[in-house]
Amino acid sequence: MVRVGPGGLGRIRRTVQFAALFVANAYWPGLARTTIYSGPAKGVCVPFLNCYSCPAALFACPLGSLQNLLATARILSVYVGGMMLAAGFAAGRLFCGWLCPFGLFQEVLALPRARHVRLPRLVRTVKYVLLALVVVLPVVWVSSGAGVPFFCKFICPAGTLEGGLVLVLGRPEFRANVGWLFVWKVAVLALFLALMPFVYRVFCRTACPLGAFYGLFNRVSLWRIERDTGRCKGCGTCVEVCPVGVPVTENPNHPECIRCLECTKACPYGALVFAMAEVGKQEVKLRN
Amino acid sequence: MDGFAFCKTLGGLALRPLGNRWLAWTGFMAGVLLMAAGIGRGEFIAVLHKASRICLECIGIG
Repeated sequence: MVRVGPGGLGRIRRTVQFAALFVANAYWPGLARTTIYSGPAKGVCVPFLNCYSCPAALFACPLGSLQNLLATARILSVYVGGMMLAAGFAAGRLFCGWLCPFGLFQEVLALPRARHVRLPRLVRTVKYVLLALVVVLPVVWVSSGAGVPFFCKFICPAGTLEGGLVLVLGRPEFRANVGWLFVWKVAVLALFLALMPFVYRVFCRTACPLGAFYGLFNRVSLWRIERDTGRCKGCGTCVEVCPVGVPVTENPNHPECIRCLECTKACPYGALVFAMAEVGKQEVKLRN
Repeated sequence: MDGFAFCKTLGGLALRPLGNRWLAWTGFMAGVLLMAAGIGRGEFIAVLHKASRICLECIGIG
């Protein structure tokens, strides 16, 4: 069994993940006062899931913003959509693997054997259904005059963890209004929490619409994994180390790939590189 | 040749000057332009307005 040690790329990635967590959630007074930040930075969407109702959040969540603008103003935001498109075309799911705080949370909870759990295709398809519903339902599901941000309201466990639990526990007026919806959301979070130790990044792989969206761009993104067929001996080391079960030798830019880049580090022949190209110039390749 | 490969070949011929990553570059630039257009029509303020208030539905109270 080949294992990627905690050093090198793995350590850099973990450092970047923690840095993203603290930068995106740097409003510490909000945690103490259980209020949320409302300064100008809140208009900036981060390219990963980070609930803006979290008292510490400095920036806006793209999915929350997209859905709330659709639900309340019937605006398909080209600002948020453009940011997601630019991020997707730039690096695909790199943001899931390197920046997403909820992804980091799931990785921290995962047991070593969780990395070898493979998920059936049908289960992995759920996130694409949710992605379609994220755009459709806020418009067609109307409740008391306004649409419903269905994913945030009924599913998002990141919102429950980062915003819901903190605010409900910290604010008596919210505690007094807890009803079936909060119970449902806590149940969804509890389900994912129960699975996290046993299935690596279970939420990202089954239910994250943002990850599903970025995954569509893995194949065509500016930065992507290149496999040098001349160097590759088909030893399968890359497939063994991949924590999300990507068939790297067949398709290193599979939509499920979260671009943790462990395969590029583990390849004994240096056949896998994370590369980008500049306009009109030869490709620039980065080796680990 | 599947539909994706056909479109890629067709687009590749049209956008050959951009190099072999034409789709990624044009997509990326389109995203940046859309983002700028959205900011231009006031969506930054709209997002700021939304995200500055606690979303009761998002936290499970609504």
